[in-house]
Amino acid sequence: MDKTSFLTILGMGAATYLTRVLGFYIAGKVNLTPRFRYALQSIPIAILVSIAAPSIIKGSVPEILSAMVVIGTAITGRGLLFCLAVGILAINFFRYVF
Amino acid sequence: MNTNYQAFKLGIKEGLPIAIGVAAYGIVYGMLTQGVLTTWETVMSCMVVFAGVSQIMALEMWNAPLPVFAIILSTFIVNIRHILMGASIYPYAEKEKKWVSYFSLFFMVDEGWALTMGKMARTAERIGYLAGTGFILYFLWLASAMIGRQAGAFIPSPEKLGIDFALSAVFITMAVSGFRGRKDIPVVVVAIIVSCLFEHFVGGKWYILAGGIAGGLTAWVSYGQD
Repeated sequence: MDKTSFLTILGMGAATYLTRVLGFYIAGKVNLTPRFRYALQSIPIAILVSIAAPSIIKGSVPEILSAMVVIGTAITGRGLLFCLAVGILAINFFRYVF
Repeated sequence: MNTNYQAFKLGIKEGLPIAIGVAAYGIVYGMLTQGVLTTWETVMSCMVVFAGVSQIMALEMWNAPLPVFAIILSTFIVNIRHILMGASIYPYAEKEKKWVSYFSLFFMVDEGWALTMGKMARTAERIGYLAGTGFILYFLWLASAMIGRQAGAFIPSPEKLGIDFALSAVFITMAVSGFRGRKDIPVVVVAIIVSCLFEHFVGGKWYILAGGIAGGLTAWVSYGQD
């Protein structure tokens, strides 16, 4: 590995670590009012929905149907691994059918 | 109350199922590094950067002479969503020792963070849990990249086994189980609309950040309305 690649990867690592700690650091410096705390605690569900929603809405028929199956399974309160297994089975089934 | 070490071990155990989906991506990443990065550059990327999307993006830009600053800047921009994720962890880690939190944050990736937030919302889990989930993903990310790099040609494509859907299934499940009832409805609706609009009109990974910010603002506005 030459020096330039080494420094580039090191720089990528530093940039990534900065993004990982920056929000945490800033949240510790500002005054956490109950309202601000509530907003911060609502971010996870918003991000999870944002990650999943576009791929479901723009997905092909098997993906949309499998997503419905996973949502239905998750609502019953099953564990993550169970829902994951159901999702994999569903996508294989629907891809086979369609 | 758990110690951070107990939380770390629990994070490793409960992070394992998620690692299946991540390992599928790791294998793909390993296959893509062939002919672009040397073995040691691949190992170093996985161990120092540990952020899948930006690592794959860097491969696209990895032509001599290396556009060093463009690669580093793009890495920062792709990972800006981490800033929001780190901020959302803070309320749960206020009382932790600072060095433990900053150490744990090194291992924060989308999947481990999501698992940790779900856990922390249910039980008062320690920040070590984040490090545990991140650590098992870290280990499997490196291992799967090496497997993909060495054995790429012999591995069937993820689509054939349906493993490409694994991460979607994981995020859907975590979104459903993280739902806190009626007060979350405006947040969820706004996040769906904003993320889909950004995904369609802006592209890249910006839709995650946009949906997260829009959801947080919605919660700010709707606070105390119920």
